[in-house]
Amino acid sequence: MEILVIGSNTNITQPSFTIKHTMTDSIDVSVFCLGENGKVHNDNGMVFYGASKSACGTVTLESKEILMNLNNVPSNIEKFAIAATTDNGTFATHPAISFDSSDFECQLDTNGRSESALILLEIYKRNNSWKVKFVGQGFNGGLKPLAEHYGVDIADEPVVESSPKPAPLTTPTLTVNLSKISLTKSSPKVDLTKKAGQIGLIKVNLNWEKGKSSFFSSGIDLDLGAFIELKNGEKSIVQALGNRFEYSPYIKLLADDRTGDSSNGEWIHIDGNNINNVKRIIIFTFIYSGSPNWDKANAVVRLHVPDMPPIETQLNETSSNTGFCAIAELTVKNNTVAVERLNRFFKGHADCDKAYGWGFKWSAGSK
Amino acid sequence: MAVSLQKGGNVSLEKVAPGMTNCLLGLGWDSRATDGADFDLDASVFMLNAEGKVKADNGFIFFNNLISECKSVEHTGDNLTGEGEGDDESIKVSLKEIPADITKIVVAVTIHDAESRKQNFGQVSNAFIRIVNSSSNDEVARYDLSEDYSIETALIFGELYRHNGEWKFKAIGQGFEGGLAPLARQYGVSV
Repeated sequence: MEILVIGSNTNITQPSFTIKHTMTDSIDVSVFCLGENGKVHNDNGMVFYGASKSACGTVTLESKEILMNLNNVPSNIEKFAIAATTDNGTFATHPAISFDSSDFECQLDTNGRSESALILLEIYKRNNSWKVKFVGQGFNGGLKPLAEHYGVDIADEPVVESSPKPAPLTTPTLTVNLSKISLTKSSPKVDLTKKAGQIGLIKVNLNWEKGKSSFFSSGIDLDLGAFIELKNGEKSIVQALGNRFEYSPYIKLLADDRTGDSSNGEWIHIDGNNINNVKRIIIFTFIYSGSPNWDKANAVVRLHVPDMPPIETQLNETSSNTGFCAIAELTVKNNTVAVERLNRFFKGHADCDKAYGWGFKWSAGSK
Repeated sequence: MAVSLQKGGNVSLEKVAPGMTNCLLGLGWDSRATDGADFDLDASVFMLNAEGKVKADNGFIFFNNLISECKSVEHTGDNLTGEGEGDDESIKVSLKEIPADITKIVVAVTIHDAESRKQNFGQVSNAFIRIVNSSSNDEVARYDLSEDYSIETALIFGELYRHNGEWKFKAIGQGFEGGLAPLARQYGVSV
């Protein structure tokens, strides 16, 4: 066990280890998975917020712990940078930060620190073995310069295309939205700032973790779907089950991701310019196959509305063993659109139908 | 081919680079990407007589005294930030021109104002010091300061010394406290 000071380094002797830390919930921890040039390969290289596990499986962020497993690191990853950011003020307003792991421990004195983003540790390959360095340097400007330092370009405005554009000839830059609106139990509702009819394309994304397949259980397959009711009383469902992919011109389900491996999950597009004819839309998800373990699925739903930060809700506040979840409801009233988090769990479509008054008849189907 | 130096390792320049007459001491580092005070590393040499002292203050070649009286040792100039590729500071040594009463040339690297800026080599990215055979451009020896001397703020890289009519280079890799001033005093420079 080595006590590190800022700048110093030591060998990692155990490829699988846990780093315990003392950072409170008001500090966001992120990990950048970096190539030889010190940059991320793509935006999967940034582990943060809800996306708490790296694509390669090496890094898992948990509350007060960072789990590292260096046994199967892709050969194009040379370094992991563990960083932290604060939403309010600098690190000087936070208590000292301690790290404790099997090979090392260290403490960052936050007194007088002017940064609101700090690179804390680097875990890196040197001469074919892994080492850890206590970095303790950062950026006064917060997450944006930090992310850019590692090759992730940050958009101040959410980047959501509202209309198809010709593909640019240049290499696309990686973009991560930093501002976001989280719908939680305590703040479940947000009004879209734009008037109905001028919203553009609303994109709804569901993403989750597949989990490990074994002889007894395959991974989880979640389906995204929506109930839509128009002001004239017409009603419909879009979902992969029964091949009901579109209710034109209002709503469309783009793809059926059977695994969760696809990095961007399943998408529903809602035409915001036609939303004046809509009374309400309820976004739901259900477990098509796999055991109903929502905790392990780590499902996240994000609504991308043009010129607004993404609206996000996580399906993690449940021990429910039921397989159907009503996620969010969009209601259109007086020319404005509101989004409300539901997070209500049901046994299936029929129960949810009953609860929200859809009025369909339900029978078993398959896709 | 470069020799990776361990502490106290002894490399004969004649062996590694036969007939080397000119060498270059190179110091390089990356300019700071994060916020905070710049990293200002300095390369210096002390030209010492048999007593291990400078003959006069101008035997201390550093950012304020770039060239020796005999012109055999020349510092190409101070770099305050590490900006630029490759060697950010270099010192050229013409071994054949060195006066006979100089028996040893000590090479040091320090961080300017390390104490007040709370800096060490480990905080600097890709800091190295090396010795290069100027005739062939072959790197003879190199220390990785960021990685292997991370908690140091000042280091004696090594010394060129005369032995049986040839110049040898002995790697030392000895850190020291307090920066350039106490080291200069130790070698008889009035600071």
